[in-house]
Amino acid sequence: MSGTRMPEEPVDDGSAVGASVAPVGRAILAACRVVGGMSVLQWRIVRSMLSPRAFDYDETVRQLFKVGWLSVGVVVATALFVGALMVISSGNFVKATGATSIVGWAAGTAVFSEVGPVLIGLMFSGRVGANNTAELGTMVITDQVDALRVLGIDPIAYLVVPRFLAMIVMLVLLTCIGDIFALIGGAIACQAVLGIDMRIYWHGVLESHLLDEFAMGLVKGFFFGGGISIVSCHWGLRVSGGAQGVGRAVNNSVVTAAIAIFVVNFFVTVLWT
Amino acid sequence: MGWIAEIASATLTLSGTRVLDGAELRLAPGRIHALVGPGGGGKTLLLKVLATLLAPDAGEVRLFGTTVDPRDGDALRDLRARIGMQFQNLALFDFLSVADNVGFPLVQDRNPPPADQVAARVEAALASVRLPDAGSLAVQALSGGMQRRVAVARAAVARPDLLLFDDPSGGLDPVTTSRIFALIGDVQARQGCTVVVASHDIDRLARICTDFHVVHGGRVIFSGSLADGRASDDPRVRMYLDVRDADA
Repeated sequence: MSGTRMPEEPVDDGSAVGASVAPVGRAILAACRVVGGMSVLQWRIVRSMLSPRAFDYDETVRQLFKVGWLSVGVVVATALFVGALMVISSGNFVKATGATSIVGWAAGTAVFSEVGPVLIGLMFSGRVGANNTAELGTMVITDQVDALRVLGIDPIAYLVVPRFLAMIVMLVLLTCIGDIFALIGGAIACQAVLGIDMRIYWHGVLESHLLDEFAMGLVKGFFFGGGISIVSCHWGLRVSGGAQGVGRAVNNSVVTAAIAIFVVNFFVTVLWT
Repeated sequence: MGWIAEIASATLTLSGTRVLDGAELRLAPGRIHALVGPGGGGKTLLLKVLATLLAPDAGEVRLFGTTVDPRDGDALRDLRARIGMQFQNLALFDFLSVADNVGFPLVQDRNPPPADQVAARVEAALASVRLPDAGSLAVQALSGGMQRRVAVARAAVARPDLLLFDDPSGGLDPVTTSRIFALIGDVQARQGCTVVVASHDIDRLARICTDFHVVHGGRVIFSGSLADGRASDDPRVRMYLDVRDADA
């Protein structure tokens, strides 16, 4: 008898299992490609910064202004409300226990170490990172990046390094500014909503010796800035397919940056404490 | 004959599609070459290969007597310093003014000239494209035709040996188109460089070009004079070169 199966005979060749596992495999491969691409970009940034003509001064100044100064308003607004919310959230507990002196400590700790850097990082990612991806993506599809290359200019040195430096420097500074305004928001809420004298609040903040938490927040700002710049530049420089491609890249950039912020936040907190 | 640029047996596959299929192109120096053929035939790709922006999967590219090695960054920078290109999308930097766009190749040169020389050359370049007062304007403030003239000025300002134009008259009215082609002819006459123009406009190409290359299906199916092309046995070559008012 021939070993050939009859056509109508059911065959269990594992295709059902394969079909269900394949999307998982594809997702893992896609994630590896993204992480690999960003690692290569990071390496090229470092290599560019070490080269004799590391980066364009004018472009760096332009980026510092664009990503920093133009973000101050949105960061201040976010921080004021976040600080106020921190205080209001702890209001019931503080009122019930009469432990009004801890309200400054609670707000300061939360703002400096966690809520301040993370929320400001997310705002920064939404405003600056998304804009950066769209700008670079548009430059790719309109041949502006190729125009740089044909002029013998390395797009990494000219476009990416200034953005990388500007986002790190400015997110650290914005975190400082955000911390201050979050505390001010907390003080206003303390007085206006909880009816606790804001001098008690400020006394709690200053007496809690939160320098360590403040420093941790700045370190987070440093890594968030680097992460957002790499993520946004990676997706921006990989754009293809016209306006739709830019839209997809911005979406990917925002999602990836948000994930990166939470992952980095976790590791910095764990390593710091 | 010494060629200023040679593409030999170039094949290139992008996204699974063979876009260059054994393309052969040789450019004689100091002449204006036309690349003609159907959209998607490979004209832009050949320009990008000449600009060293794309490296073929197989085959050889020689520029100025040097074989292009895409892995040698320093050598690529040296070659690119001798090439100017006007892109199909113009690729003007919208974060720079018109003058800064035109002066960009000079300022970014590894040995940039002094600022006063840059300003003088930018002024001369803008005057040559008949935009002497547009230097301080934003690129977005210009019409399509003016933007194309700025792109011509930027491509030529560093006086490259090889000047590439990708569809320089795309979307322009007939009068502006004629001006753009006349400008390209002027630039070549002044600088003596080798020029390659990819366009569908055989009428205007015939007025300034000396050498014609028909690109079809990722191959160069004809290279020669317009008269030879029109007398070709290949109907595809005649179709792309034979336009009734070409000599008008």
